[in-house]
Amino acid sequence: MNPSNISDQTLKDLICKDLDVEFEFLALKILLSRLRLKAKSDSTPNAINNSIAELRKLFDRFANLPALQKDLQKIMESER
Amino acid sequence: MKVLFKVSEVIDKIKQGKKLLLAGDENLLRQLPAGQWIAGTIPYFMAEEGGLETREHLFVNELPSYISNIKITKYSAGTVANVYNDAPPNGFSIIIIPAFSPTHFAFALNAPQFPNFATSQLIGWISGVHLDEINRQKPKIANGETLEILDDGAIVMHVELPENKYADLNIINIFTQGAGDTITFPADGFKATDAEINGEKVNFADYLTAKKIDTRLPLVANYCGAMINTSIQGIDQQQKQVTFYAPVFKGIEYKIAAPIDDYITAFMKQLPQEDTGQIFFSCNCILNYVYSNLAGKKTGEIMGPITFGEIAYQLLNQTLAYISIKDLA
Repeated sequence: MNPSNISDQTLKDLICKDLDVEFEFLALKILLSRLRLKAKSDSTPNAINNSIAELRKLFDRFANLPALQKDLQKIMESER
Repeated sequence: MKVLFKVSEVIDKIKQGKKLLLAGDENLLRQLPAGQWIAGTIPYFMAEEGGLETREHLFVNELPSYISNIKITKYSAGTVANVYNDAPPNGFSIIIIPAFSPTHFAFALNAPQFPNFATSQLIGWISGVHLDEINRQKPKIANGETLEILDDGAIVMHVELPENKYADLNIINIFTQGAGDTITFPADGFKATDAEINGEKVNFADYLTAKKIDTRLPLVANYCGAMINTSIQGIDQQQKQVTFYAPVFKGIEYKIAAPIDDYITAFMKQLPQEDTGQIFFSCNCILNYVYSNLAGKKTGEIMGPITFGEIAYQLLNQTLAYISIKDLA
């Protein structure tokens, strides 16, 4: 699963819409929770874009880890 | 697997060039020669025999021989923000911070705002002292390369893994959110006077007292499925203030944990299905040790120092943090 196949809109929804996806990778759970909290106090496009960039940084760093691969698949499925 | 060693045995390992993560009494650490090791003080451990306290032995995690690149870095309260940036691209970092120090508080409060938070695998612990000596002794950390022993700062071993290996960092938290009130706080901090209970502002000390809350149960927040605890240190009835072992954060929704009948039973149910032999390092909380009477009891094959706080990306309480080294498929 290539993280670059996930659209910015999907990541924006993940951050702003509290989509109920059960993730496995601890770093993703903690970072996403923080980004959702941040979005509640600052939902300007600039702030959301920064949060999307943070998520992408995590995806790029850990893209080869099995737990994140499973989570990326779940995110892709939430797009459909 | 043997995890507790005499000082003479640890000296031999250091002289052999082993890369070590150590935990134990300050007097023992002061006897060690320079080498590739870092350490923190604590006399409590989960060991082969089960939970125990000792000032005669050091707890040793020896890095596997296939690990060749490590970097030991000392941080201050002002520079610890770089800890995620300094991590190797494939690997992990182990951090030790002395309890009650400025760096402890700086990391606990600010880590989620540090650059590249959670984009490198950071695990570690808050060093402590014997519970009878909390007001007499300061928790310490040690840098084996320089033989510095410090009561403030953070010592970190950044560990690079070969391309065919990866680190898998996770937690075991037996606590879940109870069915009670939703609690939020108006500010980040290790102390709280006010809280909102289901949206209604109250004095939090009065709330806990009136509700007869068992303060051995932590506040639990749901981080997208990860249960993250904040333990209650005490209630100051005169100041009408509640203190915590880790900060509460503004905007996070907490609930008092559901009660646990038996720690060991609950813990064993949460043990990872994978081979626990792959676990390279773990640490468990002093509050679990004390509240659940872990002295003399075993938590499966998982062994490590008992700590004044656990770090899995950020500071945690009443949680076991562990990291496994696995082969990439």
